[in-house]
Amino acid sequence: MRMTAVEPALLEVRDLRAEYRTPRGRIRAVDGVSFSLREGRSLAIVGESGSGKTATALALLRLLPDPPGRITGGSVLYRGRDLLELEPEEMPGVRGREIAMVFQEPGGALNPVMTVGRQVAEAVLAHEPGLPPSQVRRRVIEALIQAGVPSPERRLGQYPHELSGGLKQRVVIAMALACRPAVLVADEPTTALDVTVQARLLDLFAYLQSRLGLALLLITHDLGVVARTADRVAVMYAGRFVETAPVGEFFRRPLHPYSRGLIEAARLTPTGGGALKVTEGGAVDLAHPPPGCRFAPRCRFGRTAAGRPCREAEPALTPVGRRGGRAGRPAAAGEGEVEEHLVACFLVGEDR
Amino acid sequence: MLGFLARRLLAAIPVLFCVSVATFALLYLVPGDPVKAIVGERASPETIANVRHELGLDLPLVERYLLWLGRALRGDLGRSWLTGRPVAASLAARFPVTAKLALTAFSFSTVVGLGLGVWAAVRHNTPADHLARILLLAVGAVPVFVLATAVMYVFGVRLRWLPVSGLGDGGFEHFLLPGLTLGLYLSVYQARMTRSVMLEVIRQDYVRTARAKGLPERAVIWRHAFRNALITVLTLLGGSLSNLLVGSVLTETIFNLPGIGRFTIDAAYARDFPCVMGAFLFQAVVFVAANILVDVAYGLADPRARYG
Amino acid sequence: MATRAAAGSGAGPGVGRPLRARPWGRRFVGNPMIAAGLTLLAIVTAAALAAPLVAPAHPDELSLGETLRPPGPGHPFGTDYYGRDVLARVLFGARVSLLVGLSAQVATLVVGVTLGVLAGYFGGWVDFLVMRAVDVFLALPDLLLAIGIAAALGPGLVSVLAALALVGWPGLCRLVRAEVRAVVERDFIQAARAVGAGRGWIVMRHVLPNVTAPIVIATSTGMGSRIMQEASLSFLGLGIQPPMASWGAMVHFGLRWLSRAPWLVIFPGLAIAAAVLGFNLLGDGLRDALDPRLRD
Repeated sequence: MRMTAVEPALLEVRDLRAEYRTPRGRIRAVDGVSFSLREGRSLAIVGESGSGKTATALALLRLLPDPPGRITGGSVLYRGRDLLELEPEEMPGVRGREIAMVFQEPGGALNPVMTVGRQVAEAVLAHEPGLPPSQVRRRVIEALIQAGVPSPERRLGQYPHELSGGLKQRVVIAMALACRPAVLVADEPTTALDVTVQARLLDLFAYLQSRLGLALLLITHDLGVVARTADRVAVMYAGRFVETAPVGEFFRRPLHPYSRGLIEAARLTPTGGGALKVTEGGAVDLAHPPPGCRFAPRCRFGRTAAGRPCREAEPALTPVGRRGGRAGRPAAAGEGEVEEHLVACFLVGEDR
Repeated sequence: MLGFLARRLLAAIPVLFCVSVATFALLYLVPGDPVKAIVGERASPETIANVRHELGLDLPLVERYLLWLGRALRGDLGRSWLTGRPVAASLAARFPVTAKLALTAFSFSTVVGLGLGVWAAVRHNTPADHLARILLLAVGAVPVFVLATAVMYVFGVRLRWLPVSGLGDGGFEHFLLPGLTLGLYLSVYQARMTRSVMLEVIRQDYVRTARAKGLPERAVIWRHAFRNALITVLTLLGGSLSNLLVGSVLTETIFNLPGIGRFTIDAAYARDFPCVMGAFLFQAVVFVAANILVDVAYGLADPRARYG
Repeated sequence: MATRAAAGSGAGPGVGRPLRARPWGRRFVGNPMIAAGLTLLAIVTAAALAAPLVAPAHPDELSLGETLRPPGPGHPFGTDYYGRDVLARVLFGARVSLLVGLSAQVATLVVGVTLGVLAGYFGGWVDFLVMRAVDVFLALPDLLLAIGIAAALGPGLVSVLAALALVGWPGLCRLVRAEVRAVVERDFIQAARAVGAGRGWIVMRHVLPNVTAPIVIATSTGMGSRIMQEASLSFLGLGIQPPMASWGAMVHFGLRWLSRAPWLVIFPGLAIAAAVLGFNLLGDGLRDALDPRLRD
């Protein structure tokens, strides 16, 4: 296994676990997730709804609504400090200043009765309360410009309902950037936007990464976005990562049956050439997961497999060599280097 | 903004008109002859005719209504059948008492009601919230006059801290118990409402955004959640006003305060119609006006509302 | 390339267990508010029904040798200025309050639902007229209106009934109209495409089920309001007149003796609170059970 010389990880998540307590039982939404994020790099977490992607993001900043959510284990190391060990009162200092988060629906994310200027200013003042008003105003305009908001001075006095969806999203990003955080977590930032606006937003992300060294954690179900913006991708299913790899490698050689299903579906043109190998079955009931590999009930190979451990044991995330075949022991948490390709499947390396 | 105000005022006019008609129509629900009720069954026909003429009861209906309305618009609400004193003057004299009572009660209820509502909402689904809900239900089921009596008994009779009856020298302590009682009664409705609105608001995305920005929890709750909740609460305050008017009638009766509510009751009991009608019209106008004010406040508070 | 990754049919729990047990049974049985409300109401109703059997004495029976006795043997709730047994009066007062409340509520229902359905279904000028009437009635605080009517008609049982009905119908009417409108706007289009005749039937068959739940809830809380309003009117001297026992009137007359005989006010007061609380609990509980939209 080649070790690439890398910068120390800005954000390192180890074996994160979180659950939701519902009348139906405890749903293990995040069930042992590990990854690391470096300066100027981006990781995309892909999965269907219910896979636990949003819960993971919320858990990072301890924004899980409690009740019914709760972080039950693991650690979130930011610059070496475990955020989960901090006192609740210390969290506001981290949010926005070190790690900022942008959510899915820009429409609801802005307070309707406050002007745009005030809301962005609030973000600044939350972390730099002593700043004189003129400076605050300057920072707000800077943030708006950075986020690509046209005519920023005009926006200051406007209310959210006066802006278009794309513009609102940019304001939300401006709010997130206002305090110059090191990490930006974006949960489905492009879903509510139309295609042209999406493209511009993704350009913005690329710019932020390269120019400002922003580390980006992108959560999406859209593989197109992944291909354009991410350095590394992690596929999430039923609360766990089933495959992680550098983006190029992932699209060239997707190994997990689920990843392959996703990519195949994404390759179809609207006019539909070729049969859609739809992954059948519904999402897993996370309150009572089946024994063995969680994907097995839906896996086209798992079902026909005979003498395979798919239904008995859970596969661990294991590194895969460059040319196929296993590389040996499972990766220790946090050890996955940027160039590594990891899969959690018993069938990898065998002929199919 | 002005257009908004003008439109609201315009819309109120037909309602007020109908209210005046309804008030006037009250007279016609009266079984029997009001004149005989005043002068007695055995009065001579001339006396009856005279009194009828004096009271203007011999005119045709519509004319009488218009006459009354015309006078009312000029501020002349007629004279009491009992005392002969001008109704408008009586109302004016009693208005300050009711106003002071209302203000005291309203201030108290707003602070307690809104505060309790927010407090319970933030602690949603905890034992504290459940306790608050039960308390609100229980206290809300007690009629205001029973509450008043209880308050009166504890603080006035047993502890003798505060005066329970009458106006005395008009000093503020005479308004304290009644104000607190009425305020308590009002705060139940307000607390319940604030709580339910806050629960809705807290779930909104922008509250989550505010937290994610790094704002301390206190700012998130008050500057974002509450500020938005307040808007809805303001409109629902209109319902509170209704309770206020009603409650003040009962409270004034128990605590023997010479306010407008008391005036209405006494007149109703004595079937002194000019007084009843005058008081009625006055309170209805105040109520409608207050509702308009609430609408205006809403328009000021919520920028989205101004556009249509 | 903004295609969505196909991830299988439908979300939601697929593997294994059924989604929910029969929701209806659980909603009602497990609901503490409904249980509490029904319990209180059962007590009040039982008191009303059993009054002649349980009362220590006849409610109107004067006993001038035993005036203003505190609660004790023979008179569990004490006696009033005329020596009448308070418990008896409270029990018989339950009859009055419940009957009056019920009658007023029935009248409210008849007027409110009818007008609401008419306004919602026919629209046009019918709707306009009805809604203007509603606006006028709602422009006045309810008790004030009741006072006015009671003043006009003279104090007594009849005016109380009239007053309460006139006060209650606008709120219900508005509610019913809104629900009817919602259904009519939904189904009317499809119904119009279907058989031309029988349109009214179809709508009625769809309208009523949807409207029933809010009406039931409104009736329960409405009963609470009726009882409260009747008590208030009687308290003011404009409602039930003596010697008929009414809780509100009992408070009215008991007030004078507050310092010497607080039990004259306490027991009827508690009775009113119990009845109102019972109906309110039931109404809130029903709302939770029948209309999850309004849940917290």
